[in-house]
Amino acid sequence: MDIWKLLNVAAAIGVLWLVMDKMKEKKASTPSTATPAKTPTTTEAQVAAMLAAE
Amino acid sequence: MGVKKMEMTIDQNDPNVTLSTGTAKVMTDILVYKVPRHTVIELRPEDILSAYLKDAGSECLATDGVQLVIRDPNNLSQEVLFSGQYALIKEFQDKTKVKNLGASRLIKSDYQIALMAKATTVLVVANCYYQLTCARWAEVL
Repeated sequence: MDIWKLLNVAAAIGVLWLVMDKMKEKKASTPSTATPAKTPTTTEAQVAAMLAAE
Repeated sequence: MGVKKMEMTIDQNDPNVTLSTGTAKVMTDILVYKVPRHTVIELRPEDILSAYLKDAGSECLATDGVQLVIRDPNNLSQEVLFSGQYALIKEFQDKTKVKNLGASRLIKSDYQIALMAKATTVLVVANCYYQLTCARWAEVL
């Protein structure tokens, strides 16, 4: 195979890989719109357990 | 039914408090707070313990001993949260001088929080006053 054709294919693969990597990065950095659920503090959980045991 | 947290100060007027005169030269209870049902009392390191102790004529000696303890409902065991001289707890207002508890505890219903004193003379209940700040977790509708 002609060396230039081989280099062109390699360059095309490289560009494709770069584009896909960028897309992956963008997707990961998109902030989630979902509100995180409020987790009770240790004290709240302990108090709830103590009151439930009454 | 939910649980609500409220800031609170236990003092001599609290309906769950029992006051007594104590016995001269013996470490005895002078204030006992019994935690009501469906309630948990939270003591935090920054909470303040203060007391003004007086007998029929004069204030308790600065060197008289005092203790803050927690007891189980049957008085079988107790844990000392603070033990020291009266001088350490006589400040009520000055934030640089008040006695901070420096301990965290959750106290269940029916348990007792008791302030004990070993005063040189017998105290007069009507002449003494107290403050113990805390958080009250109580069941509400």
